[in-house]
Amino acid sequence: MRKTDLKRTTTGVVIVITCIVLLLGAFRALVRAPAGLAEKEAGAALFQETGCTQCHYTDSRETRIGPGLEDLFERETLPASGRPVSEENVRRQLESPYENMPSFADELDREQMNLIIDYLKTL
Amino acid sequence: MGGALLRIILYAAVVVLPVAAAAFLGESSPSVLHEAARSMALAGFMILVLQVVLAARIKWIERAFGFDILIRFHKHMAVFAVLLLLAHPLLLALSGGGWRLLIGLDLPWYIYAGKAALVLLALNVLASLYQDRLRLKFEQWRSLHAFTAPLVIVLAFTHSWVAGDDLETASLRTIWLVMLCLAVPVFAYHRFFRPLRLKQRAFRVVEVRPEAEDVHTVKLAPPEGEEIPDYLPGQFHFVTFYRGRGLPVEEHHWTISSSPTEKGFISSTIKNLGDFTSTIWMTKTGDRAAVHGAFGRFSYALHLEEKDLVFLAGGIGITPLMSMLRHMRDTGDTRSVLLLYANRNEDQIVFQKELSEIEAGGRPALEVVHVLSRPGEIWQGETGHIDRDRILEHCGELKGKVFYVCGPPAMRQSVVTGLRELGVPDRAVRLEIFSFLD
Ligand code: HEC
Repeated sequence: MRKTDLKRTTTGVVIVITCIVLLLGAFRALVRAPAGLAEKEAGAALFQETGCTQCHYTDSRETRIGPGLEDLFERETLPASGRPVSEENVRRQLESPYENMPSFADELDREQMNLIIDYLKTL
Repeated sequence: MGGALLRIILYAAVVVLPVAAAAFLGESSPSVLHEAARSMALAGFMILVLQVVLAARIKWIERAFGFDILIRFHKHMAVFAVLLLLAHPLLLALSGGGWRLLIGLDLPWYIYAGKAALVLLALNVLASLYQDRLRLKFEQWRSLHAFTAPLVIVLAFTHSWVAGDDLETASLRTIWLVMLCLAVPVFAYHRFFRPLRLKQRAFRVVEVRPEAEDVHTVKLAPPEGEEIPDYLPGQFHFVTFYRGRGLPVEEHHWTISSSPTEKGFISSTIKNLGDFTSTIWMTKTGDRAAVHGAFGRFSYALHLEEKDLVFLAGGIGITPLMSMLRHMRDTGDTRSVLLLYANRNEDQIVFQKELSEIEAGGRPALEVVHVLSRPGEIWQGETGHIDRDRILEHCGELKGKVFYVCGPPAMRQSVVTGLRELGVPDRAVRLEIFSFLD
């Protein structure tokens, strides 16, 4: 290999690597990330798919099977357990519920729980 | 060339591997800048680790490119890595990290580890690029390099392992560990185990012969029962002399001036250039020397189909060409070779007698033209330098000829420019760029 080839090769390698790195970075940010709004939708969808809606209203405080969750994060305490409202305590409810609600510890991973909690904050 | 391309693609693929893994498997954030910053750091780290592999004189890699080209690629990639890794904190700051990340003092220790890695890396690259201007001796630079390079990698590894969100995923942790398991042994082998092994099997100096003013040929023979490693005429090797007597022990590379057809010994013809080479004349028969070879692609043996060669040599640059001429002589080769050989004066011409013997022998069909820039009064031959006009005058038809150029930088430069002006295509010009640092 000669010196002119080296220049061409180096330039080629630098350009190819830079492009791939930037493209993959952009792909990750734009395609994969559930950005802002999309994140809320994902949370709402998950709330529905997981079956929370079967036992909880989201637009009132009336009890269905479990307590209604409207304005949940604007309250001082959680409706059933009376614990202070916090992400931590809601997560705790999902992992090891207070009384009769089924546990979702196996069904939801941490990221999904966060999505749902973020959604509950918007109610 | 196919093999070279394959290796280059492999290199690029390894560099972007963690970026791809993170893009598909890692957590993502909606900020393009943030993701670009992370990706650049991942690729930059991979380049750093692969630097170790590029520099370790691994034959499988070297073979396809030649050592001089490979080491230059290593250098270019270092600059690229610095740019990628500098962009990493800048983009992180821009994408929401804030300037605190860059100038703040109350940062966790692993951020400092990353900063230290970056600063050391930049200093290391600057020292390598400006070794000359900093008046670093080759050996000093080498020790510095061998010390800072692994330190940079260890710091970068720690920083990314602790600070990097992506490094929480199993796939990236695996890649990181694999790279570390690759780099550490390669580095240790290259810096410690191979030198040790070569020292144990050191060659013996069997002759030190003065050839011309300030030029000596050192002949080395392998230890009992061992063979000389295969080499091509025109290749070079690394030699470390163990001479005792308070003489420096440093590894340097020299062209092999003997031909593989000459059995039982291997020789280098070395000129006193004022550095380590000023101690060569003190080498004695019986001294030991660790030999690591052979490298380089400056050899007509890789292009046997080319029958019409022009050798352009300046001073001690004759050595690889001499190796090739000896090889042609010993194999009864009939190709035609025109040698233009530039020196300052008569006393500096190396191999004068042997060259005229080969010329008289007719194999190869050799024509030697000596060109002296400051000849004595009785000089009958040509005076001046090897330039465009002289090449044209002696070659006549340039088409179909292949040029081998070896000599000091100024000579090399003017010859290459001359050939270009004459319309000789780059692919018909073969160069030995002997210093790794210019
Ligand atoms: C099978 C019915 C049922 C389903 C399905 C269900 N819940 Fe519940 N949930 C309850 C009941 C009953 C309670 C009352 C407290 C208890 O029994 O643990 C409750 C309580 C709650 C509370 C208040 C806890 C407290 O400490 O006061 C929250 C928040 C909650 N659920 C969220 C959810 C979410 C989010 C989902 C979906 C992942 C969900 N629930 C699915 C029945 C259900």
